[in-house]
Amino acid sequence: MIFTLHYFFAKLPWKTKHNTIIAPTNKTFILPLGYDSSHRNSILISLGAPIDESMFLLKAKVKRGTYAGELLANLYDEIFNRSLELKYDYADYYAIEYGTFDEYVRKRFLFTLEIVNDINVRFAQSCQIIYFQPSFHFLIEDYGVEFLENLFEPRGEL
Amino acid sequence: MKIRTGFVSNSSSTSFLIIAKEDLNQADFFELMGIEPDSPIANLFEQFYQAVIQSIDTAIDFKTVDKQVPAESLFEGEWTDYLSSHMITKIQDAKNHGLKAYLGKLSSDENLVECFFCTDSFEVENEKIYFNGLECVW
Repeated sequence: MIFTLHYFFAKLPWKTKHNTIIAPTNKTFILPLGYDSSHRNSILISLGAPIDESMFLLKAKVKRGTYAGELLANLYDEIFNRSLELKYDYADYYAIEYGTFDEYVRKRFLFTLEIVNDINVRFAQSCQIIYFQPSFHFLIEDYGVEFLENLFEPRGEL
Repeated sequence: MKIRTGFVSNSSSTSFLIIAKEDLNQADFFELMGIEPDSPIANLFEQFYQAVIQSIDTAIDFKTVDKQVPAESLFEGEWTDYLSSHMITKIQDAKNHGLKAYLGKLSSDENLVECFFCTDSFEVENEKIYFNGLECVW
């Protein structure tokens, strides 16, 4: 069996730049980044635990093979298969170039210090940090953030 | 259940045809779309439903219409240009079965949710409702 660096990276407790160790939790955080220089809306999704497509549709309470089911399946594909997972990207390609994850997100994405701090304090607890640029029109502004929060952290969790 | 999806760009509005056995209601609409009423994302489809209801231009109950009148002639004015042969066939079928038909237009100039569904292209059907959102209108 082959274990990738990403596998261990996702499983280990995260160490921040202040050497505070935060154990992984199941909490998901959504952080809107606004528009980049190409006018593309960007959102960071920090997942506490992995989720597969079937569970994603189950949590959304949509039926596979229907319009809503297809819409959510497309959204799952866009988030989990067509977006950049930052921990994987860092561990596999940038860990040597950038000594810390902080440095990687700051220099590669030019995130503001405020966002980098958010990643340190809140997002460090996650197993995946996904850099998501949605093509769905409604996933912008407050409505988009609220939609994703409801989707990933519904009240009365299953 | 039938489903057909796609994407239309550069559309400012999209006409829709809905054929239903009963008066339109949100419960049947949710069932057609495949979403449970207590879904955490129900708001998206509630807004979609409200946009559809508020955008209905013409509603006809074929139970009350003279069977001698051609179905497509019931939708007058600009609609004559927007009805595809596929839609006319569906309307004719609705007439033959005494169903209800609703025609309207969604606009991409309205809110985010209506804009999304306006620019999507789809055709869905279950045993209660047929919804054609395929035709683009400028």
